[in-house]
Amino acid sequence: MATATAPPQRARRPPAPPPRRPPRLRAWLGRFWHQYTRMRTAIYFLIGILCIVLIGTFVPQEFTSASQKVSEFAAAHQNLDDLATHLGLPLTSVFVSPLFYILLASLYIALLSCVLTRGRALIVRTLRGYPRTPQYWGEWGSWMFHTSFFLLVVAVVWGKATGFDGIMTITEGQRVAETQASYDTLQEGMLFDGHHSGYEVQLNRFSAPLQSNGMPSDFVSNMTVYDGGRPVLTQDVRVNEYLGYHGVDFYQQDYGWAPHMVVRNPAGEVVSDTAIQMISDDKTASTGVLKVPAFNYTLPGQSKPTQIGAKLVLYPDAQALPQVSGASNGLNFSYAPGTAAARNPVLEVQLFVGDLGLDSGASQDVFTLDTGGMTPYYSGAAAFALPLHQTTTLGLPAASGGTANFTVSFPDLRQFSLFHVKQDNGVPLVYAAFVLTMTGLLTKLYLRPFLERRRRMRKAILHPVGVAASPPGEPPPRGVGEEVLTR
Amino acid sequence: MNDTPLSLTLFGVAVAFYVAALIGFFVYIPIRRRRIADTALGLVALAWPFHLASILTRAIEAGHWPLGNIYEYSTGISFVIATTFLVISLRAGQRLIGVPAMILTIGLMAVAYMLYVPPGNLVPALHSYWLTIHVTSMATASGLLVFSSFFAMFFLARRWGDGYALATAGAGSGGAVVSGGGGAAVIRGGGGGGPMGSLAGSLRHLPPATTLDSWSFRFVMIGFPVWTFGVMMGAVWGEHAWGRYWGWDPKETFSFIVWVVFAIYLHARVTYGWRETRAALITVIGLVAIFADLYAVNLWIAGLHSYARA
Amino acid sequence: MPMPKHPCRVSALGAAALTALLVSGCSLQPDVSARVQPETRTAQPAPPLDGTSLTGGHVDLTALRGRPVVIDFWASWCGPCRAEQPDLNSLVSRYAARGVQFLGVDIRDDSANAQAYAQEFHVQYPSVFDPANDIAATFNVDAPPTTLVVDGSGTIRLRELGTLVDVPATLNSLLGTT
Repeated sequence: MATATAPPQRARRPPAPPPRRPPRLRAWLGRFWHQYTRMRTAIYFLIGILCIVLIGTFVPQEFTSASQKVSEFAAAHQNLDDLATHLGLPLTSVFVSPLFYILLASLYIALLSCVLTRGRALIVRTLRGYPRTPQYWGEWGSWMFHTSFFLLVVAVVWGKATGFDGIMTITEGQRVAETQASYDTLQEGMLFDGHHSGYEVQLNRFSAPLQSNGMPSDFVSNMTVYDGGRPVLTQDVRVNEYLGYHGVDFYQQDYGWAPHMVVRNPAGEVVSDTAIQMISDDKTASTGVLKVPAFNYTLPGQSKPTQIGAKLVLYPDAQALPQVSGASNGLNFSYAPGTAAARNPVLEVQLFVGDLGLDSGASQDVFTLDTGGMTPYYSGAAAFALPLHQTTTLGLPAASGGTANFTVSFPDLRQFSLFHVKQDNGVPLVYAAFVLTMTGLLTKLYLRPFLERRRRMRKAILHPVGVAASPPGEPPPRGVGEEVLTR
Repeated sequence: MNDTPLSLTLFGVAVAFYVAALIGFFVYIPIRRRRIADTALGLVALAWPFHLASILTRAIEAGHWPLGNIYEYSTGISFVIATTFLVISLRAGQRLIGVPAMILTIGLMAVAYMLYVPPGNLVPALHSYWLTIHVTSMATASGLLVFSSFFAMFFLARRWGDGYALATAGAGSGGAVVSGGGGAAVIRGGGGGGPMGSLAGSLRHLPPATTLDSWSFRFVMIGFPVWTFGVMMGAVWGEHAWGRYWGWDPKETFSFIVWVVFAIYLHARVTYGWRETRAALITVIGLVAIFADLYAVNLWIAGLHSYARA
Repeated sequence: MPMPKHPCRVSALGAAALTALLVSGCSLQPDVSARVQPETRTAQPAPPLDGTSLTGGHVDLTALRGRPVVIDFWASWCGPCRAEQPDLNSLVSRYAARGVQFLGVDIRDDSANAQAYAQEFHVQYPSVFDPANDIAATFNVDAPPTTLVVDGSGTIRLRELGTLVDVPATLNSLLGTT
C-alpha cells in the first residue's frame, strides 16, 4: 500500500505559490511535472489502483455484496476499518473512496498530459507532411487507445449524471406509471431533469418454468406498455431480454410469490384486500408480512381501534409433516418446503393483535412486523395454516361478552417481478469508447508490425540478396512492434 | 447415475495422452534426445483430437455452447493451451515449453473433473449469444496469456542461469563466458559446480533470454487485445442482461485486475528499469491473477458470475 | 423526513445491480428521498386532475376553480400519512367552512385498504383512486404524504413532503387576498 499512498500525496503537495523567488518554484514545479508525467509514475498509479481493486474483490462491498456480509466484516475488523477510513479508504466501499478517486484523477491527469503532448506532436507531424511510416500509424493507434479512456469517463459520468437507476416491483395484473412514486428505491443523477416518462407498464403474467432438478429454466415477465392509456408494446422480459421504451429500460432481476389475502373485520367489512410480496432465496419457502392498520374494530375497554398483523410463511408446494401428538386446537401441524412450483400452496400465518407502530409516523419496512406493541393471537405465537382458496374464521372478544368473528382468506396466489429500471444515455458513448480502444490497440499492436513486415517483404523482392529475413523458428528481430503504447 | 457420457470418456483419453506426453517432456529435460521430445509432442498431437471431440460431444449432449460452467470452461481453456502449444512447437520448434503447458493442461482438466457437472441446461442468465462471444474470448485470452508467463518464467530461469554461470566462471577460471553452449561447458569444466551448477547448466538448454523475452511479449501482444475485447463484450452483455455495463462484481474486478497487470507490463517494457526482470515478474503475477479470476472468484467469492456449479 | 417507500427488498442479486455503479457514478446519484423539494416546482399551473374516487364518484380539479384547493397524496400503507391525517382533518374543520376545498389522491394502493383507512379516520373529502401513480406522475410526486395547495386560478402555491406546517399560512394568505 505504500506505493499506492505515496503518489497522491505527492500530487497534492504543490503549495500556493509564495510571492518571492518565483524562478525557483517554477523550476521545482517543472521538475515535479516532469516526474509526474513519467511513465514510471503512471505505473505506480496503476499499481495503487490494482491494490484497491484487490481489496474490493476480497472485502465485501456495500454496493455489490450482501449487506449482512458487509456488516459482519465491519464488526469483525472494526479497528482496521476505522484506520483505513481515516486514510481515505473505507474498506467496505473502496470503489467510491477518496483514495480511489485521487488515484484515478492522478492517473487521468498524467494521461491527459501524455495525450495532449503526443496528440500535438502527431498533428504537427501530419501537417508538415512527414512520411507516413509504420511508426507513425503505431503512434496514432497508441494515441487513440489512450484517448478512448477520456471518452469512456465522459460517457460514464454524463450517462449516470443525466439518468437514473431504480428498482420497481410489479405484481401480476398490476399496472404502474414510470414515475418516482412507483419505485422501491431510486437514485437520480445530479443533472437528471426530474421528469420521468410517466407511461405505464403492466405485468400481465410471470412464469418461471421449473426443470426436473427443481431449478427454473427461465424467468419470464410478460409486460405491456401503455402510453397515453393505449397499449403500445407487449413483450416478454427475461434476464437477457430487456424492455426498452422511450429511453427507459426494464431488466428482469428477481421475482417472488405474492399471495393475495383478504381480511374482513367483525363488522364483515373488507379491511384489507391485497397481494403481499414475499421474499425468499429459493422460492420454496418465502416470508412476508401482513399489516392491517385500518382493521376498524375496537376491543372492549379500549379507546383506540385495534390493528392486526401477521408474519407469513408461504410454501408453494407444502409437504405436510406427520402430526405431533396432543393436537388440541388444530394448530399442531407442521409443513416443510417442497418444490418451487405452486402445487400445494399453504400459508403459515402467525397472527398478532395490537398496535402495528405505524401511527407514530415512522417509516416501516414492509417485510418486518414490529410486534413490540402487539400480542400473539395464539399463546406461544403459534401459527395457523391457511391453504389456498380457504378462509379461516377467528374470534376476538366482543363488547357483549361474546366473540366477534373476523376472517382471513387466501383466495389467490400471484407472483411479482422485480425490475431494475434505468435510464443511461451514456451507453452508446461507452460503446463508442470501446470501439476506439480496440481500434487503437489493434492499430498499435498489429498494424505497425504488419506494415513493417510488408515493407521488409517489398525490400526482399526488390533486393533479394542479403536481406536477413528471420529464419523459420526464430522470432522476428527484437523491436518489431515492441516499444509499446506510450512513448 | 447413468452411463458415463461419451464426452467424459473422450476427456479421459485426452488426459491419458497428455499425462504420457508430460512424462516424455520430463524425461527430455535430463536426456536431451530429439526423439523423446518428438514422441512427447506426438502424444499431445494424439490427445488433441480427443480433446476437441470431447468438447464437441459435450456441446451436443448439453445442447448449448460448451462454456456454461466451470467444468466446460476449464476444459475449454486447457484446449486453448494445448492447441497453442502444438502450434508453437510445430511452427517454431519450441519443445521445453511443453513442460509448463502440459502441467497446466492436465491441472486444469483435473480441476474440471473434480468440479464435473453432467451435461444439462444452462442457468437462465446464460441464455444468450453473448455467452459465446464473451466467454469464448475470455477463455481464449486466458489460454494465450498463460504462455507469456511461461516464457517469462523461462526467461527468468535463463537469466539466473546465465548470471550463475558468469559468476562461477568469473570466480573460477576467469575465462570469458559467452552465451550458448560455451557457458555450460565452462561450468561443467570449471570446478564441479554442485547441484546449483548442474541446474544452471541445464537451464542453458533453454533458448537465449532475448528470444524468450520476445516470445513472452508476443503472447501478451496476442492475448491482451483478446482479453480487452472479452471484458468489453462482458460489459455489453452486462448492460444487455442486467442494465449495467460495469458493477465491480468480483469477477469483473478480477478481470480488470488482470487487464491492468498486463497493461502495466506493456508500459513497463518501455520504462527504464522495468524492462526485463520486472516486466517478466509482472506476467507471472498476471498468471496468478488469471487463475484467481478463474477459480477463487467463482468458488469462494459469491457474485453475479457464480455459475460455476450450475 | 423518512419516506415510507418500500424498502430494499432486494436480494443479493438485486442489490448488486442496483447500486453497482461505475467509477464516478455513485456519488452523482444521491438518494432521492434525501432531496429537498425544489421551490421551482411551485408557482406552476396544476396539471389536470380528474378520475374516479374511492367511492365511485367522479372528481375533477377544474370543477373546483375559483377556490383554494388542498390536494393530499396519500396511501393506506403509509405510516407518516396515518400520523398526519388527524392534523389534516383539523385543517378541514378549520378551512372547509371558509371555502377551501380538500381533495385526496390515493396512490399505489388497494381500494379496500384505502376505504378502510378513510372510514377509520372519518375522512370528509373525496379521494381519487390512483393505483398506477398516473396522477402522482403528472404532479411529479415523489412519495406520500405530499400536500399541495392550489389557488383559485389553478396555480400550485405550496408543495410539502411529509408535513403540513406551511399549509395554514398559505391558505390564510390566499383567503385574505380573495
